[in-house]
Amino acid sequence: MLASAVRHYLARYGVRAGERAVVFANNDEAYRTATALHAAGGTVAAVVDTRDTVDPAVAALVETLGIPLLRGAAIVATQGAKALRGVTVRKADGRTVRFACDLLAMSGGSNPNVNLFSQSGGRLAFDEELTAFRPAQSVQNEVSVGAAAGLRTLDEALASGHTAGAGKDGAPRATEAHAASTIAACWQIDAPGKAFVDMQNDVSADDIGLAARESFRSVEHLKRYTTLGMASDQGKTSNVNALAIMAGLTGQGIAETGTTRFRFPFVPVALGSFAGRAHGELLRPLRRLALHDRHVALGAIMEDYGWLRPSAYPRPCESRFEAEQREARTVRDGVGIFDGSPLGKIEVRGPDAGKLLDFVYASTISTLKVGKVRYGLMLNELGVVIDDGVCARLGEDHFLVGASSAGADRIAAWLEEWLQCEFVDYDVLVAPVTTNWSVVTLTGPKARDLLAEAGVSFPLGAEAFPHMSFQTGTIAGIEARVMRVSYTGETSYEINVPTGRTADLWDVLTRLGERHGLAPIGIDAWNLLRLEKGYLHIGADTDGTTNPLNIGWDHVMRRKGDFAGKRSLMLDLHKNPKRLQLVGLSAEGREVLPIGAHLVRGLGADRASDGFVTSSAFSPTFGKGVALALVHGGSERIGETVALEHEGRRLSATIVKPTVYDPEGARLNG
Amino acid sequence: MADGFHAAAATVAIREVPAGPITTLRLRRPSAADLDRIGALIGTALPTDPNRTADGAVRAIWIGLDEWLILGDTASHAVIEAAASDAAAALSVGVGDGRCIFVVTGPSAADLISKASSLDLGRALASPDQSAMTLFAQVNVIIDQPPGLDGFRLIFDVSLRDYLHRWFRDAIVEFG
Repeated sequence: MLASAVRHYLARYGVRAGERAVVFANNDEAYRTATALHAAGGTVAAVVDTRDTVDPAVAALVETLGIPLLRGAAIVATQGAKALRGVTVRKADGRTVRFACDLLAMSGGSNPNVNLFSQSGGRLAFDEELTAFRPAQSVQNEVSVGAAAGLRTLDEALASGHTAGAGKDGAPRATEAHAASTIAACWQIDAPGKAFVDMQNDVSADDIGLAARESFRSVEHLKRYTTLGMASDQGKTSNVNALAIMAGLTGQGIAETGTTRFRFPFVPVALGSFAGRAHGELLRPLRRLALHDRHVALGAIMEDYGWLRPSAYPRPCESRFEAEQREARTVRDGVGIFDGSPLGKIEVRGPDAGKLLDFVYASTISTLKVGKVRYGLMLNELGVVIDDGVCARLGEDHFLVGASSAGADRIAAWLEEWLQCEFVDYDVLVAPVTTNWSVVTLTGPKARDLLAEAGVSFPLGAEAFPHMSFQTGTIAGIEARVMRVSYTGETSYEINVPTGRTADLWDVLTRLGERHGLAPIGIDAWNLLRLEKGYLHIGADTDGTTNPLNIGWDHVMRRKGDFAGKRSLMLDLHKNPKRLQLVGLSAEGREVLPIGAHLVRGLGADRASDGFVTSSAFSPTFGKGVALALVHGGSERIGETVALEHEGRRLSATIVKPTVYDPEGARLNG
Repeated sequence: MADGFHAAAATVAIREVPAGPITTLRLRRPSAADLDRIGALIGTALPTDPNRTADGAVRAIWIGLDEWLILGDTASHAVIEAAASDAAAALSVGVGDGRCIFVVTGPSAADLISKASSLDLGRALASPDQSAMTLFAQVNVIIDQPPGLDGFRLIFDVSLRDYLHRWFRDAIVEFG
């Protein structure tokens, strides 16, 4: 421990750092540590001074207290593992002696606090007498005084401060004389074993030797090669020692070796200061649904999807998996209600709205009829799928773009960027309205009957309001925008109402739904239902490389006109029939294939990945595991039995088409 | 929707107020004539300098070169819609259901806001017709200084309401 730290513990906190200490020093100042420890009731076993001669007055400070002083001596070894038990001292005559102790206070002298001076651009000079760098030449209108200027007595410090403060004669004087502390350079002890120089970053004298042999001799190189002085103490103790050792190794003087620029902060800033109050529930903003309290009252497991959303609504004594399976069956047989409020909603309006959307979607949007809805993919310039969703045409020049929940903000910014940077002459504007509208979806064969009971201002029949169309009006007197789109494969009504009215709509529908066996549906079941339909979940079934040709959307390449990503998709590499293609997998027995499992071809060390599972669940509809996977050449391999591996397990499955449930779409069109 | 959120300390008070009708108005490359005509119809001149506000029949807050937030009564949305219809491209859409509003008052109001934001309020909100868009406790905010309010009106996304309630309750503790 540093001798000054031992003193600080005593003076500031009234704590003795040890009961039996040895002080090891090359300067007078460390003797204060020995006397202070003694005065505080501790035992000082010895003072070990590397100097052959010590000022008699300084020596008397400890010797009169009965503390042995060993001149021209050095500590060459220590004993103890988890705590210090003793030190071995090599005396001036070369013989060694051991002292039992539990504290070793070391002092190699002190450095003037030149950090601020150095940051002001000032030049430092090495002072041989001080064995330290001190300010030499100021660059800014600055002056260092006292110990910071390398002055060692109180009188010198008072005089320098007085002068710097533009005082003329009559600087205050110390009432008693203080002799300047003297020091004799000692950079390294010649002794076997590790000698740490930077205690924080564990840089040893050997590391500095290696840096010298590897020609990292400049202080800037030394620092970066060894990490010397890069800990939170910024080399306060170690830097001068290290460069003196380097100077000894290279034969250059210490002054020529020089220092690195002292950096801030002088005192490390605790990470907690940066975090402030952003911890616990304030760690990061979490969005909440307007129906949050109702979901909680229904026993929902609320999870972090950026929004806190219900994953499942387990009933008493029901597991999460059982809840998921029951909820999914309810949608297939009756009707479920789902809170889809985080779905992205972006209004796009203006004479050139169709033109803009034809570009940002891989599908043509401008041919959509008013009141109709179309599903589309959005690609980036590399042709990678970045989002999917439905787009509704509300009017001749007015569209509502639906983005995925995770993509809501990102896609609004994406459209804005195209308008601001590329299509500055297009007459079209966008406005995100995601949180202005909540979405309550009724889905299942009984959805229409239930909705009709709520009182709807527009016709609900399959002909008047077919799948992939849009209506505005009122439901139970509440303003609503309703889309017939389906992520479950069943007849669905995606009801958008102003967020302030969400609870009113939910309450009406859940009350009326009781006799229809209505159940709230969590994300788990929602994902399972879409998986049976082979519908994409962006970010799960796609990654940062997936393009439309991987997911069966080859037809976009026959489109006339340009769209974002088209040119990238024209590269030959995308014509490879062995490219990854989205398929379904049917597992054996009741096995659920692990997401991330790889299809493998070949055996032993020669086996290689043939694709991987992207989504997987147990289907209550089919009584077996169903999955989606990206498989090399997958669409030509329907019916093939494949081997999979995951964490040491080997599994088997059959490749099927992605849509296993109602492939004709009879149910969602019903 | 305000559900009566209120938090007060010795020198600062925060209360949630109903967002009321709010309209996002966007005009593609608006001409001076467009702006004059629309301003006259809605009874408030649309501010064209960055981060400025204007007060008249409604309150208009500059959001971007082609975008304003209009706070005012329900009728104004239809008025704005009609007023904007002659522009080359215009979009006006009600967004009041997607916002929540907190009013911060008292001698320490600016200090409390400074705890959440790196904005120099003395500069950014020096004049009463200035507004600011910045990050507040990690989320987007519009800070407005409506006439007659001795403090600040903070406009947030409604989905962050609960988070903001927690944040304000935590932040107010140090104000006694």
